[in-house]
Amino acid sequence: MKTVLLAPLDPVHDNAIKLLRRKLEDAGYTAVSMPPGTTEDEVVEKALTLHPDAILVSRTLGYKVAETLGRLVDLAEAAGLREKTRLGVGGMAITREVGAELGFDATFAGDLNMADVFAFIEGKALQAEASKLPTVAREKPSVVEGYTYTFKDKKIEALLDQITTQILSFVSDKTSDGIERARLREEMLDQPAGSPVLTQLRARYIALCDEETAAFYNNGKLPSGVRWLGAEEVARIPEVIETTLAPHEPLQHAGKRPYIFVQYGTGCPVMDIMHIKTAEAWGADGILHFDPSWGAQREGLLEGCLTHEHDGTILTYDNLNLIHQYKDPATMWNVRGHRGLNTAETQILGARAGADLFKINIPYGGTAGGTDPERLTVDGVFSLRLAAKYGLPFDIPGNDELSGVPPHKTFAGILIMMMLGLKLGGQPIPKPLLCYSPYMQIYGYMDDNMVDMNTAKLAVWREIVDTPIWPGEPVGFMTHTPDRVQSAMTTAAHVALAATLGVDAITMASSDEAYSKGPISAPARVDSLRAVRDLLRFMGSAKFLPTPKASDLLEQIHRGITETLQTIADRGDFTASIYEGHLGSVDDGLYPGRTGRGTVRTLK
Amino acid sequence: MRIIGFAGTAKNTGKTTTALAVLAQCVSANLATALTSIGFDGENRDHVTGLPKPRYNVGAGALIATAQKLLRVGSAVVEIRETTAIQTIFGPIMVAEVTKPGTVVLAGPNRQSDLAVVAAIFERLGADVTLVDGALNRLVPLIGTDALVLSTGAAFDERIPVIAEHAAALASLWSPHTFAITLPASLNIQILYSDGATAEIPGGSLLSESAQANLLHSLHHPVHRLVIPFACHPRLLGLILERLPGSQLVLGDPLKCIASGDPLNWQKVWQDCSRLGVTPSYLHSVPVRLMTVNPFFPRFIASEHRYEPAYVNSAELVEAVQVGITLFPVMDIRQPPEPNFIRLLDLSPKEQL
Repeated sequence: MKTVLLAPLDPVHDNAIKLLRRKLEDAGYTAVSMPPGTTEDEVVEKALTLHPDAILVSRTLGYKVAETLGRLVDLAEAAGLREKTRLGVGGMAITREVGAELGFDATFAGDLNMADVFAFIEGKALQAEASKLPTVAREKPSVVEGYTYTFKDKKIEALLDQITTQILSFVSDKTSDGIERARLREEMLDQPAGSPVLTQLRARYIALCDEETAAFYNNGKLPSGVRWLGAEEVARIPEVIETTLAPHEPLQHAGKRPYIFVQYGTGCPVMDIMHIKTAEAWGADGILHFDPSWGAQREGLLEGCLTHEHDGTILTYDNLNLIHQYKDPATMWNVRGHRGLNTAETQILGARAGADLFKINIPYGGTAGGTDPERLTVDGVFSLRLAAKYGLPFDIPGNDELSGVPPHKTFAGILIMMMLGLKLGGQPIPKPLLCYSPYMQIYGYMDDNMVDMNTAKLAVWREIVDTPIWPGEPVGFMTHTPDRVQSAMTTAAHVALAATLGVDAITMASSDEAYSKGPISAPARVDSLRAVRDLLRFMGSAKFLPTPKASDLLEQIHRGITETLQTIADRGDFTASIYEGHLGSVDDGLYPGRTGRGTVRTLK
Repeated sequence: MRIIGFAGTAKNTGKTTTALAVLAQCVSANLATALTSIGFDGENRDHVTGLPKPRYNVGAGALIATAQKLLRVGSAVVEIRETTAIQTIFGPIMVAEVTKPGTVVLAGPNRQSDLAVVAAIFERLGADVTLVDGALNRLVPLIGTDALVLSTGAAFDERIPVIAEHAAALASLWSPHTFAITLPASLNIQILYSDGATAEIPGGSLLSESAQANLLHSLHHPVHRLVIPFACHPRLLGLILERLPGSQLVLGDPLKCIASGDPLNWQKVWQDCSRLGVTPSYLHSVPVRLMTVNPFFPRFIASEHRYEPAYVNSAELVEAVQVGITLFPVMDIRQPPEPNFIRLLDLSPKEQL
C-alpha cells in the first residue's frame, strides 16, 4: 500500500491533516503526518527519508503564503523528489488556478472529497478529471414516488368529489383561444420547418393571438424590451461551463430527501443556464422556469431564442430547448404555467422540451395571478388533462397566502386542484407556502415563533391525504431583507424545519431574490444553497420542538379547510365561489383576476 | 532552438510583461516562437490580488503548450498539433498552433523533465525560440532552459535598498562557474578525499541538521571535493566548509541553490569559501542574460479588503539595483530606450550572425 506524507504548512491548524490521516489509514494507506509549524525544508527532508508516493500539504492561503507553497514545490524539485512523488495541496482559499500556478499536481478545494484524494494518490486520474464526474452518478429522482393519494379524511374527500364533479361538468362544453392555440402548437411542433402545413397552422395560431403577439409573427416586431439572442452569446456557453463550474455536490445530509429546487428566470436564457449550472454545482436537485409576468397576460406565445430586460424568461420552444440542452439530465425541471392565458400551451412546450413537472393552480392564477377565474378554470382543467397525457406530475403553489389569504382557504384550493388532477389521471403535489404572510402578521400567529404555524401547515397534509409535500415557493417568503446573510439564514431555517418534518421537496430562494433590483446574482444564489447545506448538516436527523400551540393551529387549519370546502360545495359553482371570495375574499386581500374575462366559449 | 526562461523573485515582478516584450521583438524578427508557462499565465486578473494582469496576445503561427481545459479560454483560435502524456490540474498538456490571433491562457509543464519533453516537441515543430514564463518565485523547472531573464521589483519588497541588496545576492549565485569536468551522474552526496578514497551519502540533498551531522561525520580526513547535487541549505554549509579548506565545493545548479535558501545566506557562503580557499562551482548552470526591475507593487487596503496598484520610483530602483550587479545588465523595460532583446538573449538566426 502506498505511503502518504501529510504536512500542515501552518503554524497552528492541522485539523485537515488529522482528518486525512484517519481516513487514509482507514483506507489502508500508510499516512505519516507532521506537526503544525512544519517548514517546507522539513517536509522535503522528511520526504527524502520516507520516499512517499504523495505529499499532501494544507494551508490557509495568504499573499506571502502563496510564495511559501511555491518554494515547497521548487525545493521538492531541487531535491529531486518530483519525479517520483506527487504533490497535492488543500486549504480554504486554494483554487485550481492557484494550485496550477504554484506547480502542484493536484488541488483539493472546498469540502474534503476522499475519492479525489485516493485517485490522486493512486495516480489513476488527476483531480480535475475526477472532480468533473460525480462520485456517484446522479439519477433523476421522483418527487411523487411512494405515495398513494389515499384520503384519510373521508369528509374532505367527499366534499372534493362533489366540487370537482361540478367543475368537470362546467368545463365539459367549453373552450378558449388558449386551449385552441395549445392544440395548434402541438400540431405545429410535429411539422418540419418551412412546411406548407406549418405555415397554415401558424396562420390559424396568429388569428387567435392578441394584437401585439400577432405583430411579432406578421411584422417581426418584438415586444418592448425584447431582443433576439446573439449566436455568439450562445456559442460561448460551453466553454464558460467547462472552465468555471464544478460538479454537483448534494445538499442533503440525512437521507436523500427533500429534493431542493431553485427558481430561475433572469429574462435571458444564457444567464439562466449559468444560474442553473451554478445551482447544480452547489447542490440543487431541481429547477423551476419562471416566465415573464406580461407573458401570462397576453394571448399567444412568441417563437425563437429571445431575451428581454424584465423579470422571467420568455416561454418559447427554442428558449426551453436551449436551457434543456445545458441542464444536467438528472436535474428535475419544472416549467411554470399556472396562472395565465397561455397555461395550456405552456404545458405543450414544456413537455415537448423535456420538462419533468408542471405547475397549475386555478384558484391562485384566477385571483392573485390576475387571470379571470372562469377562463383559468377552463384552461386549467385542459392543462391537467395534458399533464396526465404526458405523465408529468404537477405542483400546486399556495402563493395566494402572500395576498393575505389564511392558510386553510389556500389549502382548500390546493385540495380542489389535487382532486381534479387525480380524477383526470394526474399526479398532484401540494405546495404549502412557508412564509411570514400578511395573515400571520395581522393576526399575530408568528409573534412568538415561526415554528408552530409552519409545523401545523405541513402536518395538516399528513392528516388529510397520503401525498408528497413540497413547501414553496420559495420558503421563507416575506422573511427576507436586503441583508444577504439574513436572507440566507431565514431560508436555511425554513428549509431545515421542513426537511426535519419529512417533506419531499422544497423550493428555496436566492438571498437577493426580492432585492436584487434586476436579475439575481450568482453569489447570492450560492449564499442560500451554502446556508442550507450547513443547516441540514447541523440538524441531521434531529427535529425542531414546537410548542403545544402547534397542535391548536393544526386543528384550526384542518377545521378551516373543511368549512371552506363545505361552503364551496354548498355554493355548487366553483368559479362563482372564487368570484365571491370563498377561497380568499377582498377582505383577506384577494381579488378575482380580470385578464381574459369573457373569453370562454361554449362549444356548439 | 533557444529556450528562454523568465523567472522572478516574487509574484508581480514583471515576468510576463518582460516575456511579452521579448515575444514582440521575436515576431518582428520573424523568429518562429513557441510559448509556455510553468505556472498559470494569461488570465485577466491575478488570482490573489484581483488586480489586472498582462495577457498573452499571440499572433497566427505561434506555438503554445498549455493544459487541455485552457485551450478554449482565450480568444485565439488554435489547432492542436500534439497531445502529450504530461498531466496537470487542468488536464494533459497540449501543443497547439495559433491559427487566428488572440489571447491565450498558459498553464504548461511545471517540472523540469516535463518542460524538456515540451521543448523537444516545439523544436520538432520548427520553433526557433521557446519562451517559458515562470511562476511566482519558482525557478527550478527553468534549469532546462538556455538562458534566463530575472525579474525583481517592488512586489518583492517595497523598500528599494532591500530589493537592491537581495538582487545583488541573487546575482552572486552566478559568480561560481560550472565545474570544468563532467562528473559521473549520481543521486547522492559524493566525497572525494585527498587520498583518492571516495564516499557517498544517500539523498543528494543537505536540508537538515541531522543531514549536516551525517555529512560532518564523513568529513573525517582531508577532502579534495564535495559534491551536493540537489538541494542544499546555505545555513548548513558553514560548519561543513570549515572542514574543507582548499577543496572544491560542487553544487547542483544556482537555481537549486536559490530554491534551497535565501540568496543573502549564499553570499555568506561565498565569503566563507573565499576565506577558506574553497572553490565553489556548479554541475550545471543556466546563464542570466538580463535582470528587469519593476516599480509596481500591489498595495493592500486593509479597510476595504482589496489591493490597489502602487509604484516606487523607477529611476531610483534601477540605479540602486545596478550598483550591486556587474554580471548582467539591469533595466526597467518600460523606460526608454527599448532594449534589443534579440541581441541580449542571443536570439539572432545563426545564418545572420
